[in-house]
Amino acid sequence: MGLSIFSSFTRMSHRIVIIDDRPNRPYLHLPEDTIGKLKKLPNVHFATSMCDVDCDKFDVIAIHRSYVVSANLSEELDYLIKNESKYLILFSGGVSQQTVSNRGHKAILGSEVFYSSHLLPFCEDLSSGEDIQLYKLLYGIDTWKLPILMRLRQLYWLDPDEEDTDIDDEKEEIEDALGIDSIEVLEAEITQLVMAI
Amino acid sequence: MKILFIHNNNLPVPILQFIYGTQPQEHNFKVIPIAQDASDKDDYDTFLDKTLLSSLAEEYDLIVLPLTLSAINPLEFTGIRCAAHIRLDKRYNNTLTPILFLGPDSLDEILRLSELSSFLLTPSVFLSDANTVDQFNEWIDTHHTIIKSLSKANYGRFLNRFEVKAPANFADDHHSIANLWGATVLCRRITKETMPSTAGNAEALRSLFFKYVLTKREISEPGNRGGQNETETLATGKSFLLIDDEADKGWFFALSRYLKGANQFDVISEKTHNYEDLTEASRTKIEKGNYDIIFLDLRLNGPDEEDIIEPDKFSGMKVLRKIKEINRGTQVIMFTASNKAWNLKALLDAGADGYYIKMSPEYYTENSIENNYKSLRETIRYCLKRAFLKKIYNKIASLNELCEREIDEEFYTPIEKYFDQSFILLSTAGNNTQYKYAFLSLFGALEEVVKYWICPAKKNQPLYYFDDEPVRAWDIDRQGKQFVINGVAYGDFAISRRIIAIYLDRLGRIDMEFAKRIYNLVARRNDFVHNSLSHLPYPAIQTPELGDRHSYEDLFEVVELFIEDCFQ
Repeated sequence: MGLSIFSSFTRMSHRIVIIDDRPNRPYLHLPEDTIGKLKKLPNVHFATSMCDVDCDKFDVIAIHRSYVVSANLSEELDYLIKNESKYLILFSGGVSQQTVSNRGHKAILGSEVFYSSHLLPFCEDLSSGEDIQLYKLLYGIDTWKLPILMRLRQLYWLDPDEEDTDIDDEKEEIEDALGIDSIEVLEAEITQLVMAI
Repeated sequence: MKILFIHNNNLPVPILQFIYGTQPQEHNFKVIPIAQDASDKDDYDTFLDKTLLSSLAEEYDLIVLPLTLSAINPLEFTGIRCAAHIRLDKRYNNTLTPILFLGPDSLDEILRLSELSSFLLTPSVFLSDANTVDQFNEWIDTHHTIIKSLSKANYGRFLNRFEVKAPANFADDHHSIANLWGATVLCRRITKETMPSTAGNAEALRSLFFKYVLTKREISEPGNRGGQNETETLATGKSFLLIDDEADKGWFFALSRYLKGANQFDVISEKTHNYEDLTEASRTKIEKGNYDIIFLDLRLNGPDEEDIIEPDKFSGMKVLRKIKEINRGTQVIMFTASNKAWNLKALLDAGADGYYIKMSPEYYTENSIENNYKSLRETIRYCLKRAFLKKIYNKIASLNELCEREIDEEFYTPIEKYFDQSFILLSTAGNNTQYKYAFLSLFGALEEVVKYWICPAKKNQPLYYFDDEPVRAWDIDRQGKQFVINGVAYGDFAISRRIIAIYLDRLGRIDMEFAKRIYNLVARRNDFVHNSLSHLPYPAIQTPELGDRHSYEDLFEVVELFIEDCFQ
């Protein structure tokens, strides 16, 4: 089936490497004690270049986008997503629109979103062995399901006659993963999350 | 109705089948599929801009698109972003076209979740959850009377209601974005040309935020000027240099187009902390290039200077001081984004001959673009009129060197001081009286030089020596009516007579026209000092008036010739 928005990892700690060629950049966005806590997490590794990193050891690779462009790493990183099922986060100061693609395995976001208050809980969540969900970084631990629920609603809407098998498969995958068994339940959950924002 | 559909396979399946189908259709459909994922190398706005530019050539009656063009994340609402680009960018030919969003999300949800949600509250924007062909056709039939292009008034309402927030990095990078905006609005005020896209500004020019601020601050096209304006005429044959690490963001284009009569327009576009860190080629350009005006940006080191508060610490200030150290006459116009009085004062105190405050979308007010342009124009005019100072400074330096080489320090020191004083007075002169004082000071230098050659004799012995050779001594004849050098008698002891005496004594000759110029200059000087009526003994070669740069230049030429002749 290829990549899934839900990871198929067994319950074990997931490791993340944060590659930023400017080591002071996190301090522009995050308080020092948060960075201190991040650095103490055993599953979080900081690096300043890809040369120091063995990507096989990490499940999530977060890397500054300008470095990817200047070092010509796009193809290599795409390979890691497609063939090694890695998760990739590209962050940069000049992002006009954050996007998630490759069935949730790749996110492009602003540095201020990456180095936000969501980062520490996201990394702690990775260490707990929970499914890797980049949405947890983008929207927070409490609201990460919202885009997926809205996607499910979108899938219902896109195929009213239920003719498209790809749409059906994706619907089923989300329904099973999130335990949604009716449109009413879906709408109730969406409403609850939207109102909390 | 001519309808355009933009999608990423996220319009309802039945509707996609319908628009791609071959059945006879009531409407004329065109479809633009958007690529699945934006490229890693391109920012999303750049990706959208390129796609729309290559696809949207015609005008449509209606544009239909989903709320999001993203493949999996509905919260991105990239459909709204795409529509905003279309509304704000004339290049896509559909700024006034009605827009229909198709999607299952309610308006209330969109208002809570999307930063661009205000777009849905603007005229000629519609939302429907139609997901079958019948529902879609019914919607069209029901709404066809209100599906209308935006009027000019409604476009104004759109601009008032819609907001695009500055990107999160605007605080760090606003220098660049504001820079580009300032250059673009200046360019549009003074020329009908569009700011070209370069490697330095392409991404910013394509960004939604930039298009928004530009459209919000839209200015009318410049009127028919029918030929060169005065500044362009003044720029004819002149040379300019722009020093700006972000020159390619638009300032080089804007200025070079504005001063298109120029003989030469060079640019230095490198980041630097100070003058010494510039490349050798750049320093050579500054030192050897004969520029009438140098446009110099206050900040030449990008975001690294965002936190600087003291004006003197800016890289541009350091470069300014060095330029002025090399030649105080070089005209420098500082470009700054700061409008704080103490910063502007600091620029002038450091020697800048003028400044230009780069406009920013944050501080825009009514008529500010026009006033800003006029301010730049007047500053350029002012500096072009003073560009002659550079040549004067170089000549003074050259004469100083000659005097230092040939004359004993006791004589040389006051000469140098008078030259320096005259240059300071000349460079700060703003009215007739001030020019006269500059003239007077230069005349003082001439008198000091003359003193070197002619001094009173004491018991027929020379008072001053130079390399063991006595300088010329004069004797007054018994009646006190003339002075004598080496047995040759001259008239009264006026300085003009002394100068002529020196020529005759040293060179054995003097050009008569030159002699007349000397008499005229002395007469002007005496008239001013003794407050008498102006009376020139000979017809003036240049302006007979004393009190402008030409009289100074006239005197300077005489002084220069005199010194060079005497030391040949």
